[in-house]
Amino acid sequence: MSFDNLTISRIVIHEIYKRTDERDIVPPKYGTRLVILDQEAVDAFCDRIHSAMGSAAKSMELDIIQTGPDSSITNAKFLVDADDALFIERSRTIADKLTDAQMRRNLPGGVLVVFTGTASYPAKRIVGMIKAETHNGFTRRVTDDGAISLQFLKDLLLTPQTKLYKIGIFLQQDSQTVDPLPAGWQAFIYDDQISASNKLTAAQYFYEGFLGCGFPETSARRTREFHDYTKEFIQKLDWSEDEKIDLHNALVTYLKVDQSVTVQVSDFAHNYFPNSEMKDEYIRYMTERDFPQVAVVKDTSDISSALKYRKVTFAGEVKLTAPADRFKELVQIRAIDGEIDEDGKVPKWTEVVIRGRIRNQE
Amino acid sequence: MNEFDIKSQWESDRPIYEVWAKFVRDEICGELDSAVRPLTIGEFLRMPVMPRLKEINSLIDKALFRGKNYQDPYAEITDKVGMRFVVLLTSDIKIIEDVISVSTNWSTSKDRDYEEEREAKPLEFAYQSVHYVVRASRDLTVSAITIPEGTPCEIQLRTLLQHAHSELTHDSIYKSQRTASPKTQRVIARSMALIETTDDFFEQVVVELGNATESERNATTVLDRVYREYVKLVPESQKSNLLIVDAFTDKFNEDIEGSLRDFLKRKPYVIDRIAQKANDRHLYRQSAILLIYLMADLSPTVTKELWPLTLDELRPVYGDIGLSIDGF
Repeated sequence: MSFDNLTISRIVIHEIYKRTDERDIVPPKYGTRLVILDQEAVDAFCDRIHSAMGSAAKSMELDIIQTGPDSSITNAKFLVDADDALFIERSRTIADKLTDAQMRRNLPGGVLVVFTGTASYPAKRIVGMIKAETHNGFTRRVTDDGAISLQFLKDLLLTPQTKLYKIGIFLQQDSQTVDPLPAGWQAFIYDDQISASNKLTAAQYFYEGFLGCGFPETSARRTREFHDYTKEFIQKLDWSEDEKIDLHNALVTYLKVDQSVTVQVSDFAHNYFPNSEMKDEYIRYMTERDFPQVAVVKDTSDISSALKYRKVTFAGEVKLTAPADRFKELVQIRAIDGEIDEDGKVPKWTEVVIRGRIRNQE
Repeated sequence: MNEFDIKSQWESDRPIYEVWAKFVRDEICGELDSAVRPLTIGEFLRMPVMPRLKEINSLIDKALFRGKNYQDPYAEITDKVGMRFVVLLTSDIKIIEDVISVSTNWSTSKDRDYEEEREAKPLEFAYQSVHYVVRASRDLTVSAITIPEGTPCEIQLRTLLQHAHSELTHDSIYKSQRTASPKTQRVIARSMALIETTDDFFEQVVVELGNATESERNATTVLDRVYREYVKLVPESQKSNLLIVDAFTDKFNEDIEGSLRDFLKRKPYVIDRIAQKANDRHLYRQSAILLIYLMADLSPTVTKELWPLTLDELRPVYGDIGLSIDGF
């Protein structure tokens, strides 16, 4: 799912406010009509969504947990079928819900954009909710006498600065199902605070309190797949084994040492593969195995042993085992020319340097 | 025929010759239009083709006062109306010759052929040009004027360099009874020799460039064809088109057409996006837009790296197929 073929059909906005110093709710200011944008503005709006939700962006699929009558998914389901008047009316409930979810006083206000449209091919219906915080900036202004000057703008929103918005999109995967919610629906979220390490609790009010979603139960399986497929890809590279050592080390580092809450194909490719061709080849390899292009919550519980020790097996059943996260620092492996054999050929041998003395042997 | 007869005959015939020459020009240009693609006819012909009727004084002069020994001077002068096609390359002349020779509206005779003249006089470097005389093959009615069978029209075919030489020398040498000094003649012959050599070099350059850009040209042909077929518009081929194709030449596999068709089957909505934007966005009127979508889909990282224009142009393409360009 990558939100290709995106179209936007209706947009309404409401303004929401942060709580008072006494932590009391300040009611939202409701929008009363649909927002009409020209083509250029619609393109820019779509660009914001692509930047945040497109493949290679750090968006992720979450499980829909809350399905009660006032849940966001119930609202979303209502909105896709509603006429314009009902759409505007019901979207107020969503503004109320976000205001309620903002329990902490330090959460800023902003603009809630609620929109419907379609995405993917064949087109599926979507309902999106964006919380956009305002920030300031400048624009240039031509004065009456033709001079150019700066004008301060303090209510900018939805600029390309993705840190300042959070998006939740519900996508109707199957409009025919008769099963109760969340059947037939998927939820995707972009929140910079999720991908930034250790800020998970800061993001919770949006994805959990407001959207009613939770981290997927498949995270451990997905993380294992990420590990296994990536390992396979490295193995299949037309490189010598000793050249692959660094990539294997990189995989361990990415999964074990890196502090980010998610793993993502393009992120790994971008940081660890040496050239663009290989990055694309890797992305294709993972796509062919149906591994999501968006971010996946990192859960290494299924691969803890694989991440604990790195094992290298040499010809002649010689084996080397080392702590995976310190492999690079403790072990150096290098291919060297061996001694000429009876046929006059030079075999490839391996030179292993271990930073440490023998502690024990059997 | 005396001076008076020629004058009155010519005055009554002029409108016929005028219509006839325009007819000949329009038919040749019409045929050339498809023969020279992807060039336009304006690019192929280095000078506008303008039929010219002979001035009456010049006609009388040629008929009676230049010692040409005509039996029937009025009929025998075949360049009463004529036109000139100026092209860049000697091989371009062949293209026009082919077009002239297939018409059924006239019969063709070649009155001057510099290649034959080179064979006949290998040691001489003189005026070079191909001259054809075409004659109406039957009575033709054009613009309510009847052009009698056999009405002649002269067509000159030259390269730019041959034309330059002729502009310099034609009036003063070729038509002149008074001979230029041997020294001047020698200089003129030397410059013609140089022109003949340069024309050959030009030809060689074009062949070599053609070989070097064969894969780009093949790709462009495929892209144009697929663009026409799917988007149902005639693609432009501005320089940016070539620039883009050029940037990715090494990257697309041999079967670009297969990959493209497969891609458009998977993501047919791309066609609608292109058609919508073609109206007011230049890039979407170039057939290379298809290549951009395809490359972005197959190799987003490489495409972003090799992209020859600014990222602002690439961003919406990535967006349309659901890619976040900043992630690559």
